[in-house]
Amino acid sequence: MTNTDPVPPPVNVPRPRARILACNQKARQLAALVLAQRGDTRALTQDPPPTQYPYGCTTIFAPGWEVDSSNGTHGLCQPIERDLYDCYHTCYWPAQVPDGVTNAPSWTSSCGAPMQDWKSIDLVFP
Amino acid sequence: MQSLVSSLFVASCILLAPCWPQVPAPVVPAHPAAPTPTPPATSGAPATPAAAVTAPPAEAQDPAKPEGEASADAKKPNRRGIAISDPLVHTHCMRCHAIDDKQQMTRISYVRKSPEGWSETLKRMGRLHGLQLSPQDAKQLVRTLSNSNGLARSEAERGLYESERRVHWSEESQDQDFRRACAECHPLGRVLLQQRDDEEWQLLRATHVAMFPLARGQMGGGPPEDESRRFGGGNFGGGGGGGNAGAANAGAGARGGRGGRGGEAAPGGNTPPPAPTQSVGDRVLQKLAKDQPLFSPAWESWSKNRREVPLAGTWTVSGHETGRGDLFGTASLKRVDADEYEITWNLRATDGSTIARTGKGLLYAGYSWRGRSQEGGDSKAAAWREVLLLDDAWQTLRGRLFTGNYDELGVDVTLVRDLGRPRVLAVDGAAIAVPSTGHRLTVQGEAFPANVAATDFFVGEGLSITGVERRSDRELVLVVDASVGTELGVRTVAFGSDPGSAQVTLYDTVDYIRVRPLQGLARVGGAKHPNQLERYEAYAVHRGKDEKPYTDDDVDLFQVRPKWSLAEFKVRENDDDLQFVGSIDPVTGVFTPAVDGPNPARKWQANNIGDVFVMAEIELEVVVRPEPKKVDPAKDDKVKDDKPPVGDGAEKATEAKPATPPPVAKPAETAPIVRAKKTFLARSHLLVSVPIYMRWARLDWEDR
Repeated sequence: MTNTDPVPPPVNVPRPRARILACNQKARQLAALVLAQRGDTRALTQDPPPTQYPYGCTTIFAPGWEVDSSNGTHGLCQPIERDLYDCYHTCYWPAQVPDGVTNAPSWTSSCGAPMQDWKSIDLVFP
Repeated sequence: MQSLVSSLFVASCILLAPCWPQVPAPVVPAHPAAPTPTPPATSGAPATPAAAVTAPPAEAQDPAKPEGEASADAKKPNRRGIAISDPLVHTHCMRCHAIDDKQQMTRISYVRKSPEGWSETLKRMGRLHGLQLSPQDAKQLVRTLSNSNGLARSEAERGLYESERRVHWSEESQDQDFRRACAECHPLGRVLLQQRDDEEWQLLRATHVAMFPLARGQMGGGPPEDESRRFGGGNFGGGGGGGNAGAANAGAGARGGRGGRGGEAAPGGNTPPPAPTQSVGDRVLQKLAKDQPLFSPAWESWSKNRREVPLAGTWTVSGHETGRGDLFGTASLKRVDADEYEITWNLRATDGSTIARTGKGLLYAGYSWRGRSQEGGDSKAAAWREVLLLDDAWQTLRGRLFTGNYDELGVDVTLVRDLGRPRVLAVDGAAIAVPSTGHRLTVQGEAFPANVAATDFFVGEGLSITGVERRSDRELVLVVDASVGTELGVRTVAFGSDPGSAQVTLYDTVDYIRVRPLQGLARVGGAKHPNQLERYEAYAVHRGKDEKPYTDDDVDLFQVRPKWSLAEFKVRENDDDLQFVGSIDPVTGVFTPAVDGPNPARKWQANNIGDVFVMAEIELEVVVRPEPKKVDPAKDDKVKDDKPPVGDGAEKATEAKPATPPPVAKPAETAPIVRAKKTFLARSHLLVSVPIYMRWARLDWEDR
């Protein structure tokens, strides 16, 4: 299943009563197949939207790098190098990017234009 | 010059300290980059310039009292802390952290942390405040502070996943405020591995706001007059604007409030803002002070019974490594000094490979093992770090051995101390088909006698042991038959008078296969920065007692080796992630991400990131389960739809039960067993992301 499947309305909106239930063997097999399709994995943009993606450096993703506001990857600032120093200067995400205020004031000194010199950007091991 | 700075600092403390009780939350101190070198650890509480103006004149300082403590003592005469007796701490820390006649040092005496927490603290002191330490002194300081101001076992267990540097874990069950205030920048495990008194929790926020000014949007911490601005929406701390009510409505309410992105948005956008004195940060700090106090019953109990916990001896190891499979073997610990051991690992994996590693480790605060070991004892070989936690009875160590660029390659292990009496500790091949004959069940344990017999074992009703092959005093193979009609479920393998805890699972057929992890994460790298791999494995699964697949009671049976591939997770037209994110080994299931950096071949020179499906496909010969016969088909056709499904309509509809389920006849026990080849498919979601540029806790003192 992809997220092109219809997204169900929020749970507090009355929905039409489902009147079609599996009542014979073939229908039950189809229902099991649907369940199998739905139950195997739950991706970020599938319903229901998870409030948390349980891994990474933070537990809650904000519009940033890993996923965007719709829990996908296609609304991100790309490439990351265009946006990197904004996070640095504003101390926006200090667990992922060195912050220019306190811990790594000279992080960008070796790379003035990250799109061109991105290989000059060092990792920081505080 | 030093004395002048010190005098200025002391005077400012005396001036500001009386204002502290009137200020509900710590306020922003002077900018750290400001020219005044403010030692952060001794001030007690920072204050605004306005507060300084209204403060009463400084009183004469008692020269007998340490710096910074004169007024603090008057206000908080009964503040109880932990005495610091190690001269090494005095030597390195007393320059900023004053000590009183009870040997309580400012800040230090009111905090307890994990070894990693103390290590981070020392690194920060060196990075920002000029503390100079040799690696030997640093390690000794971590050791002594982790013992005197460490964590009790239950406290260390609460955030163990953080110490274990796991990649896959969940904090979804944690308090929403807690996640909002802290988890947007780092795992909650960092917070869960600390204990502080009330004032220290407040100071933790003050330190955060001082070091990362935009943390104010998450944690509060501003002066009272700023609260209304912050709740009003938005532009607090540099600009994001607008709150994020929309995100909250979309089910992502926890994302509010990182500085610069909108302050503390009210959930849903229409909810009245909470009272200014109850910001998210205030609520979180109150809860932390209550749940994680400096003196907890567990810590007080441990402190009174403190002694060196003996670990020397042989431990039976069972473990699991994603992709490789289960591991069994031993770990031998030899004491070389107090709480210090040499460790030798000898493990064998179910795929036939072996692991022999030697290294050293320390036991902190009686329960927390931290070690490093190398393959074959080669000091130049890649080190695996070891994080284990001892149980209350001192009989079991559980934890993780890990390595990798992002600590993503790990082995989950359980070590059980040898007691010298025969017993079963783990089994391999624990899924037994019903009916079956000649199933080989490999049993791991200790002290199996040379004359061990099948009659010494018991594996539950319906199972009979027809043979036993002893390989060593630690391993043997039981040949087990499962008779027709045996009830499915779990059995425990017992030996003699020991009831045992290792379990086997009886099943009739394989219902589906499951991929782990269900949500994977990799990071591009290899051109400049290291990459983060992701490994997958697949398990055959039985539907469990409720006879429904994909429910919580489903049981993993055995590992299967499917063919692995990637598929597009389509989220837009012309989605092209699959071409760029990397590749997966079709045999091993190891995903290797593509290189980092902008990719000129991709639109907008985008990075090689994206999200895809990981597909597993395997053909297995399985038993065809007989269809249950209906006793009264007419009743079965009656549709019961009195209650509309709630939530996802399609899924619930298929799960809706009739009010009175029709009785079904169990298949005849003597029915012939039919086998058929069946192709199983399963998949997982994989997110391929960018590097992390700030690698906290990555390097140990030896590597710096």
